[in-house]
Amino acid sequence: MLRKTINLVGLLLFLLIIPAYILGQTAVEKIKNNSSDKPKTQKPGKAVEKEKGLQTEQQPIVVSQSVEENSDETDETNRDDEQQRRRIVTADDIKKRRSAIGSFLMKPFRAVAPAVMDRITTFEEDKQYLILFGPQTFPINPQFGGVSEDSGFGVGFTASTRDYLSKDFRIIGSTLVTSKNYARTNVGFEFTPQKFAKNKLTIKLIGQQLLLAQEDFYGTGANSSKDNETSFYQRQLGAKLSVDFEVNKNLKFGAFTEFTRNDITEGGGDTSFVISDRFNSQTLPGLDRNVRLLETGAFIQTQMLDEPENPHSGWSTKFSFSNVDSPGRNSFGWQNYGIDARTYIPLGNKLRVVALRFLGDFKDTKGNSAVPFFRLARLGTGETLRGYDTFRFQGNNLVHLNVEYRFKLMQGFETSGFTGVEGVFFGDFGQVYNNYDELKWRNLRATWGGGFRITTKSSVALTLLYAQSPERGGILWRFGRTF
Amino acid sequence: MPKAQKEVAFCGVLGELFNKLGMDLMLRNKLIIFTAIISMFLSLSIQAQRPKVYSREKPIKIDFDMENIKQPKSIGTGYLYDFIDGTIFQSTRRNLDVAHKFRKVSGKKKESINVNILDQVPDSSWFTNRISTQDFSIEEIKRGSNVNPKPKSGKLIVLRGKTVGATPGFWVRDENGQTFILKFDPKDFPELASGAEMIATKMFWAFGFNVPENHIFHFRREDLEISEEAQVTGEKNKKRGMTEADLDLILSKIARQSDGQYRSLASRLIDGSPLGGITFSGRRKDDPNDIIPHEIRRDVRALKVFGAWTEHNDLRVGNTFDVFVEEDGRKFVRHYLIDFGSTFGSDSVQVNLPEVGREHGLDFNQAGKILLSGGLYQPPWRSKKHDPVFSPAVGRYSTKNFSPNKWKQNFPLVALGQMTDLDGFWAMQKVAAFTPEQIRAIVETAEYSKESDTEYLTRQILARQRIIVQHYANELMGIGKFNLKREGDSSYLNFKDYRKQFSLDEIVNSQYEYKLQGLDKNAKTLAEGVFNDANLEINSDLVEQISAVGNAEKNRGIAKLILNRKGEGGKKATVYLWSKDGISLEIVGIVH
Repeated sequence: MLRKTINLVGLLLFLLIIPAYILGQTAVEKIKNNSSDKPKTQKPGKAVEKEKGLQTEQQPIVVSQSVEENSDETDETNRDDEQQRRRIVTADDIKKRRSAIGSFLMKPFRAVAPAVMDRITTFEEDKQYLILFGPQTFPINPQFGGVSEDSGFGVGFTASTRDYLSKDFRIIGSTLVTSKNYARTNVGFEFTPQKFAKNKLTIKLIGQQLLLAQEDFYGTGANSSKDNETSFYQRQLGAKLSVDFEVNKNLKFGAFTEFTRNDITEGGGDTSFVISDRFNSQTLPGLDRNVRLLETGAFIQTQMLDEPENPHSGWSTKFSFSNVDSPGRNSFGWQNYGIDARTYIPLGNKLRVVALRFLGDFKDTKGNSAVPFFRLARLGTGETLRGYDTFRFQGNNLVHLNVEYRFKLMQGFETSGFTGVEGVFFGDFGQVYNNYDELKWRNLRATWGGGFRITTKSSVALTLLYAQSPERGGILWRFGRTF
Repeated sequence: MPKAQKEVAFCGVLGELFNKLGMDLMLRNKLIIFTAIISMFLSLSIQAQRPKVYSREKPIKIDFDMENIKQPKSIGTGYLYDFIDGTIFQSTRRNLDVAHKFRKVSGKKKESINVNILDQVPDSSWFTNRISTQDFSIEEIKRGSNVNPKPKSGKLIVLRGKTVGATPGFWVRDENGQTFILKFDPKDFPELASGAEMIATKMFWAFGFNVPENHIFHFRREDLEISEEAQVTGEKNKKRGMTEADLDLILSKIARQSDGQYRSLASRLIDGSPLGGITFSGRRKDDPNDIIPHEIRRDVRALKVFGAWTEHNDLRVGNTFDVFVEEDGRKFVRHYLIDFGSTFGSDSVQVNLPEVGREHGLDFNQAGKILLSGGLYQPPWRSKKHDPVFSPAVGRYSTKNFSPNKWKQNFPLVALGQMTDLDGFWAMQKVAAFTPEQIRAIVETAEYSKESDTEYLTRQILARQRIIVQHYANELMGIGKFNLKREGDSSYLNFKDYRKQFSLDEIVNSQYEYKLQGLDKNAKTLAEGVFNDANLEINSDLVEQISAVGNAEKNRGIAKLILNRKGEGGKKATVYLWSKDGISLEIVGIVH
C-alpha cells in the first residue's frame, strides 16, 4: 500500500514539475514585461539618445489616431523616425531569446551546412552532373554499375565515335571493373542507317571479354542444398552479331549469332568450397576450359504500354528462340525457348498498380548432349526469387512469376525531372526443373518483401528493396527498375 | 527493506520502470537526474517571448535596417541547393528544435519579433506597407512596381542567351538602353507562365514586398540583333559566342502567336550588385543590418498566407534576391522576391500538378499515411480528374481541397512552418484589403487573349481570398484596422469585422461585448456592455476616468479595452488606450 502511494505521488510530481516550472517562468516574464516602462522592443539606434518612458514634451491633443498611414502627420512621423534610425529590436534582444537546448542540438548542422551548401552550389554551377549522368555529349563518358548479378559496384567508361565518322556508323567500346574483380570489356561497331529505315534498324558487331570472378553454384535442381555453395571463375571471350528492327514503339524483332569461348576454373569469394571440391567435368558438364558455343537466335517483342520505361498500364510480351551448338570437341547442343510476359493493371487509377510478370526459360537438349552448367536457367537474381542468394537454384528449365504492388508515395519535383518515390510490396514464386516430374508445388519457392522506387520523368532511377526468403533476408538495390 | 527496493520506492514509478528494464541502480539514478535536468533546460528555453504590448511612445513605422555597410559576400544558390537545404537541413533543424516542439505542444508558439505595438510590421529593406494601409487607384495597382518605362518596341540587342534547360530565354537591351530578361511560355502552354508571373508580381508588390519590374512584351524575330559580345551557355555548360542559330533554337522552343509575334515577360534588371538569395532561416552574418533571424520575421512567415493565395509553391532561396543597393547616400542590402513563374496554375514549364500546394515534394507525413494504409489510401487531390485544368493559359488553379493552413510549398521552409495565428491574421488583413475591382485589374495585366481566362482566374482568386479571410478571421476574434475618431465630446472606436465582410450566407455574430479597465491587478471596471456595428462610443467622462487609472506612474492613464463577440469569450482583442490629459485619447497597443 505504501509502495503504491509512493509510486502515485512520484508520478504526480514528475508530471507536475515541468508544467509548474514553465508556468512559473512565464509568470515571471509577464511581470517583468508589464512592470517596466522602458520599451524593450523599441530600443533606439546609436544616433538617438536614450528615451524615457514618459514623453516630457507637450503633446498636441490627438484628434484621431489610426493605424493607417495616409495622413500628412504620418509622413512627418515617418521622416522623424527615419532621422532617428530606430530598430524594432536590437542584437542584444535577439541573443536573449535564443533557445539553449535548441542551439546546442543545432550546432553540428550549423557547422556542416555552410560548407556542404557551398559545395552543392559549386557542383550545380559547374553542372558536373551533366558530365557524369547527363546526355553523353563527350566521346568518353564514365560508367557505373555491375557486370552481372551480385558482381559488386563497378566503375568504368564508355567510348563512342558518335557522329564524328558518320551519322550512320559508330565505333563503340566500354570497360567496367567492379569491386569484386568482375570485369567486362567490349569493342565493336554499330550501324544505324538514317536514310533507310529511319533509325529503326540497328546492326551491331561486338567483341567482348567477360571475367566473372566468383559466380555461385549450389548444384542443379529445385532441391539443391545451400550447404553445397561453391564458386567458380568464368572467363568468356566472344563476338556477337545482332540485328534489331523496331517496327514501331509496339513491335520489335531481331536476330543474332554469337560465338563464345568459356574457361571455367575455381572461383574466389567467401564460399566454403570451390567448385572442384564438389564437382568435376563428368558430373557437371561445362566445368572445363575452352568450352566453345555457337548460338543463333531470334526474338519478337510486342507491347502496349503507357510509359515504356515505367509502365502503369498495358502489357508486353517477348518470345525468344535460339539454337546452341558446341563446335569442336565439346558435346553440347540444345534449343532454348524463352518467354517474358508482363502486364500492368491500375487499381482504379495509376496511383496504384499491380505488375505481373511471367518468365519461362526452357531447354530441349539434342540427343545425348547436355547444357553446360554455366548456361543453366537460374533463379535468385535481382528480378527472380529476390530473397534468395544469387543463382540459388539452377536447372535446365525455369518458370517464375513476379507479383508487385506499386503505389505512389511522394510527388517529387516534376520540373527537375525527379517525379517522386513509389512504394512496392512484392512476391516472387518460381521453380527450376530438369524434367517434368520435378514440376511440383512442393518444389515451388517463394520470396517476399518491399521497398521503394525513385522515379524520373521517363524511367526509374533507383530501386531499393528488402527481400526475405526462408533462407535469408537482405537489402537489394539497383539502378533502374526490376521490370 | 533491501536497498534495491528502497531505491524503487524512492523513485516511484520511474524507478519501477527502470527496474523492470533491468537497469542497475547507478544508471537509474543518473537517468532520473538527467531527465530532470533536461526538463529544466526545456523550461528555460521556452521562457515567455511576448513582446511589450503597449507603449506611450509612437509606434515604430520604419525598422531602420538600412545603415551604410560594406558589401557582403554573395551566396550562391540553385535548385539542388534549395532542395537539399529545404528537404534535409531545414527539416532537420526544425525537428531538432526541441524548444519549438515543446512550444508547439504547449500551444505557446514563438511570435514574430519585427512587430510594433499596433501588431503591424514596420517598413524596412524587406517590406513596405502598401495595401491595407494605403488606398490604391486601379491605375496604381496595375502599375505596381513599374516605375521605369516598359521595353521599347523596335530594335533589341541580344546580350546573353540560354539554350539548354527547361526555361530558355535571353537578355536584351532596348533602344532606351534598358536591359531586360525575356522569359517565355512553354510551347504547349502559351500565356501560362508569363500571365501568372505578371499577376503574382503585382500582388506581391501590393502586399509590400520588393519585386522586379515586369511587363508583358511582344516582339518579332526581325527586331532581334545579336551583340558581338553576346554569349550563350551551351550543352557542355561552356560559354561561347552566340549565333543566329542559337537564337532560332531558343525561339523554336517557345510559343508563337498567330500574328508571328512572340510574347514574353520582360523583367527589368534590378539595379545594384547581386548577392544571391534570402535564406529562410538564420540571417546573413556579414550584414550588420540583418539582426533578426529570418524565421522569426513576420513578413517572411506570412509568405505562407500570400503563397497559399497565389499558389506560389516554388518559394525557395533561388526565387529570392538580395541586392546591394545605394539609396540616399547609404549602401545596404535590399531583399527581393523574384521569379513568380510557378504561381497560380503555372509550374513554369507546364501546368501545375494536382499535388501542388497540398504536399511538399518529399512529403514524409503524407508518405507515412500512405505507407500505413499499404498504398490503399491516396490523397484525393492526386487524381488529375479531381481538379482539372481550366485552360492551357490558366492551368490548374481553384479552391478544390484548398485549406490555407494546410497549404504546402515544394520545399519545406522553417520560417513558413513557424507562422503563428497572429502572423496569419496580419497577412489575412493584407489579403482582405484587395477589392474585386483591384483583383480584376491585376488579372488584366496578364493580357490573356481569351476573356474567359481572365474571368475564371479573377473568380478563383476572389474565392480563395474569401476562404483565407474566413479561416484566419475565425482563428481569432476576426476584427482589425482599429480607428479612433473624435466627434464632439466623444471618441469613437471603430474597426473592421473581417468575418462579417467576407461571409457568404451564414449569419455572423456582430454583437460585441466590451470591458474597459485599468492595468492594475485589482483594477475596477470602468465600463462594460454590448454594442453593434463595429463602432464603440467612448464619451468624455470615460476618457477622464481613463486618465485617472493606474496606481503607478508606469501605467497611469492607460486602460485596456477587451473586446469579444457576444458568446465567444475565448477569442478576444485588446486595445490599449491612453489619455494623458483626460481629453485626448490614443491607441497605444493592440493585442489579438
